Amino acid sequence: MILEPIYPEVLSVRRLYDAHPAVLESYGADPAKHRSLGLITCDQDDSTYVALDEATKHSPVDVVFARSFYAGAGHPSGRLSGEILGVIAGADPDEVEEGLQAALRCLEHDACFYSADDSGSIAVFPHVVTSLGHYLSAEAGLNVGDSMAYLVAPPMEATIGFDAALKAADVTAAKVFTPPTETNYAAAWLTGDLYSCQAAAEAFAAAVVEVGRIPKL
Amino acid sequence: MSFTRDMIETLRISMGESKPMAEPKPATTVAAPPKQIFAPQPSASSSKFAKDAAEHTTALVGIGHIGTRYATDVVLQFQAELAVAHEAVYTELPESWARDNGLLSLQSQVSDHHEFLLRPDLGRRLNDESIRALNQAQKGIDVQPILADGLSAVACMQSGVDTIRALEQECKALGMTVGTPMCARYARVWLEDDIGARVNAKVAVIILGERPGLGTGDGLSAYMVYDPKIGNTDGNRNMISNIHQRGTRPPEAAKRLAALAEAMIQQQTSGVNLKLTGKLGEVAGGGYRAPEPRKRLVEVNR
Repeated sequence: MILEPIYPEVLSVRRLYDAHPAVLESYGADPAKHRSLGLITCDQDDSTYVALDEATKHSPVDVVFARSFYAGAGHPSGRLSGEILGVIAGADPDEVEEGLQAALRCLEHDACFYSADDSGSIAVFPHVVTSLGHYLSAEAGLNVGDSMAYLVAPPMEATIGFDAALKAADVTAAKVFTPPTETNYAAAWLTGDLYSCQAAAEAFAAAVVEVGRIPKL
Repeated sequence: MSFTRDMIETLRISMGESKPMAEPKPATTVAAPPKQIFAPQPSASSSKFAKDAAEHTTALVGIGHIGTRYATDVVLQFQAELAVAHEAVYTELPESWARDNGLLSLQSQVSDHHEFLLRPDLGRRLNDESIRALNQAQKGIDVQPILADGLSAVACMQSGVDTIRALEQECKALGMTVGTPMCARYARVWLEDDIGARVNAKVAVIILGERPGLGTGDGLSAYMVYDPKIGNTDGNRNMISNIHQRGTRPPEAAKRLAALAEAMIQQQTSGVNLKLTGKLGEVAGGGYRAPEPRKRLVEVNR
């Protein structure tokens, strides 16, 4: 079966309601503005970036820290590490809690990788963010509310896929992450109107599946 | 729920995948909010006094409150009664109505209904045609009854004829001479001075639709003046209001008006100088009246 969802697994969720100012500062939060932190580790980094952005749409929180771990979920430093640590910061515990709930809902129902071949050894992330929150929009240099195709695949598949996506729809490349990244995937953020982003993501997913079927051409 | 999932579901079929995608995870169940946040409260006031008072008036008393607001049924009642009032103000008396009901047809100097609402001064004088028409009327009488539309043509058409006919009879019964019954369009109260002076009446009575209030679009008022002449003020007048089926009924109003007219002729004055003592006070409505339950003109279902 192709294009079957590979659901992310949330490995740990913790709150620091009254974090030490030194911790706040070292994780990029502003002690004048932030007091509480919400922390998530998960075995899919890109799904988590999307989920953290989702949190900023539901609650007045900032994503202060979100980093992928080297070599990905297959080589974690412990059973709770996964491949990413995401940290949201807010003025009080309620805001952080609301943000965490939004992020967890997104990880459960929306953002996930899909298998690009029958064996499941190629994973593709052809995600369409219909409306950007203020975290990813700032990262991508776009405006809050813009649509974005968030495309991730292994290096070869991704490169062929980006080309197909950009040719298939009226989209522009906001940012391209060439391999190797921390997790050794390649990624691209393409932007345009919502249906252009959808067409780009479809072309990307189709190209990734295609490369998996015919790796040598 | 997921834009991307829907997109991939379609895509995989177009790419030759025959099996349907695995079921999405069940949506998290969210506890339903409480159906009613505030406990239901009786909207009517709990005061017994207010309840008793409310039976004897169509005013909105003893209506209580829900939180800081009126209850919905009270708001609906208010709106329904206001609508009746608006309707009454904007209804016009048909031109032929007076003739059809056997009354002498007159009109003030007002030419249309809009002007009537904006120019009270024009509503207090007869137009030239009506002055000529007055030649047919009886002169030198004791009482000149005048029916008019005033601010509610609805009221005039509903109980106006009954009232003016009853007044005629009552006056005659007391031995007074009564002038030709007439009906004026676009009339204000003070038109009775103009008409009364022209027919040389001792007392002029104008019965006209009163300014509609909440739920009383059908009320008539009667204003009477001794020695009608231009220059009389409201201090010279006596009046009875709320002449309608749920208030002072026309026959009773006519009896009081006739008694007042008789007293005016005897005392040769009217208004604040008229002494409403003894039997006259009672007949004129000044005596004790047993409390009477009042019905509303419109009733919103509760």
